[in-house]
Amino acid sequence: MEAIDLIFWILALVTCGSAVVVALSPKLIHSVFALFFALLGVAGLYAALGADFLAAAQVIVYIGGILVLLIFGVMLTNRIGQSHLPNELTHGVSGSILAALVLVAVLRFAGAWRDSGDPAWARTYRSDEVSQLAKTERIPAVKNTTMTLGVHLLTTYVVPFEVASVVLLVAMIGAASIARKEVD
Amino acid sequence: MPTLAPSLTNCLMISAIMFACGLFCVLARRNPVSILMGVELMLNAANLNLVAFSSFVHPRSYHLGHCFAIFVIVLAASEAAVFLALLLSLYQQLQRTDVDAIQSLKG
Repeated sequence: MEAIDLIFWILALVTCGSAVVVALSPKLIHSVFALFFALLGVAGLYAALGADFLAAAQVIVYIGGILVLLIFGVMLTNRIGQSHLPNELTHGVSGSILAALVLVAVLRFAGAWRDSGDPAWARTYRSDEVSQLAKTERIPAVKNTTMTLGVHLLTTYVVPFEVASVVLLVAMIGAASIARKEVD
Repeated sequence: MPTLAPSLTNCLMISAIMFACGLFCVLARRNPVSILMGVELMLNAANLNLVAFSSFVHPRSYHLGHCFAIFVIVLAASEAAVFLALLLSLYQQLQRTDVDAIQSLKG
């Protein structure tokens, strides 16, 4: 077993275990802190898959932004000193049945019970094939995804990029106008 | 059993487990913060799938899956901001955070 395999499986265990804690923890604040480790594990998985820019963006946006917003929401809407912030399960049976059905269906589709380690419908490349591909097709090796991503975001995907910026602006204005106190 | 090395199936299995946990959060909880955490888990699972397909199916070509994942992150961020604003507004009006409490259209 190589080092990258070991790192990958540690990250996978951290991510899946934290996701289970998020789903099943009886206290809300424990769920939020487990979500921190789940998001960190996903960032590590991005890095292990070669997506360096996305790993950094995941840490900055999710952990630096969304998780802080979540903790902010928990602290503002609960009386911290009085309660222990319970997070009751109201539809546990039906929810777990539906989630288990979806899990089994997706695992079946992903080829979890096949011996080859790849789903039947996808043509994947292994590392030796990738180096062979680089020799035959002369595609340059991409060490750093940031430059490629930036070029594509501002040329090929410039329209979605601009639409996303408008969506962010509208969401910011809408959030500010919803959350402000009514002035009579 | 699949091999132990990082492969497409292993990444899909991890994201399937994350997706199921997020779905359970959304379905079984009544706290809006918990529901938002479930949605974020599901979006992360989808993003992980996009990155995995990008790096195993098109290992050398341009990073289409990464571009798509960036847009998903943008939408998740704006959604979280609007969700927090709605949560604060709900708490100001009803003094409780429970999605079952939102029953009237006219405040």
